[in-house]
Amino acid sequence: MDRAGGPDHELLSRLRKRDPELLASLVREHSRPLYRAARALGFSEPDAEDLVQEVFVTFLSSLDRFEGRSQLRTWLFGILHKKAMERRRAQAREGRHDPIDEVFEARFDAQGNWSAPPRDLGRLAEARQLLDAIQHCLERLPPSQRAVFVLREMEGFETKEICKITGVTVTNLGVLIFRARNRLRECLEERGWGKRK
Amino acid sequence: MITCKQVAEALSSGDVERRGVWERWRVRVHLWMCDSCSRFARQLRDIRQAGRRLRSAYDKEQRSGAGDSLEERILTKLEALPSEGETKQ
Repeated sequence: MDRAGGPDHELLSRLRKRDPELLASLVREHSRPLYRAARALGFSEPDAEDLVQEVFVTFLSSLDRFEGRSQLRTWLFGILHKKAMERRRAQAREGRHDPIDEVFEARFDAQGNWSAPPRDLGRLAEARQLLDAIQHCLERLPPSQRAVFVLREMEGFETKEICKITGVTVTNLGVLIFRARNRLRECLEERGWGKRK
Repeated sequence: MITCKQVAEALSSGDVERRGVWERWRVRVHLWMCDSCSRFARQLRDIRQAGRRLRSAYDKEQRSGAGDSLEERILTKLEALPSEGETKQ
């Protein structure tokens, strides 16, 4: 079902008829990844579930635009991303300037050497503390940085797929990933990772 | 000589693998020689692992819910939707 080739007419025809067997397999395969991505994007449990339902409803009502050219997973995550951004209505407020760039710059001297070297993050972190810390720090990421982090690091999407899902260019994606990772690093260091007990 | 800042930029934006063989080799040699940069690389790895643990936590959270599963609730909603033929009539 999940194919990268040309239009899949049989798949589309069965979806248009709401073939119960196909719908069930589609929901079984994709609802969990969509749900956990929605949770990681900051939605509460009921909101995340609601969002996933909305993704499937939107998918079924926009089959004319889906021709099987892109992988189904990428297409569904694209809808999720759009819906999540619509709900947040925050993307437009994110400016080009991001203070994390200056925080990163301040870590180096004029020769490009570390002036404030990084700490060892993971060594001392207990599993529960680690989860709390990463959740806390993820919540502080701007939505677009959070989205690319979730898609790349948690869901394992490739660059090309993330660009399709989020509509950003490869260059812009690099900037977003760069900022997301550095903001998370700074936040985790602030939360005490790397401080020896 | 590649600087620590250039290495940190390359690692953060995740484009090391897309660079040429020579560039990748320069980054690798730098990481081998520089404690701070290898710690930086480790931080990024730790963050990735933490993200994956969080993903597993969300998977468990979903399964522990009472009543119908998420999949069943979604299917019930989808099955109630009219098919395309029905909506166009």
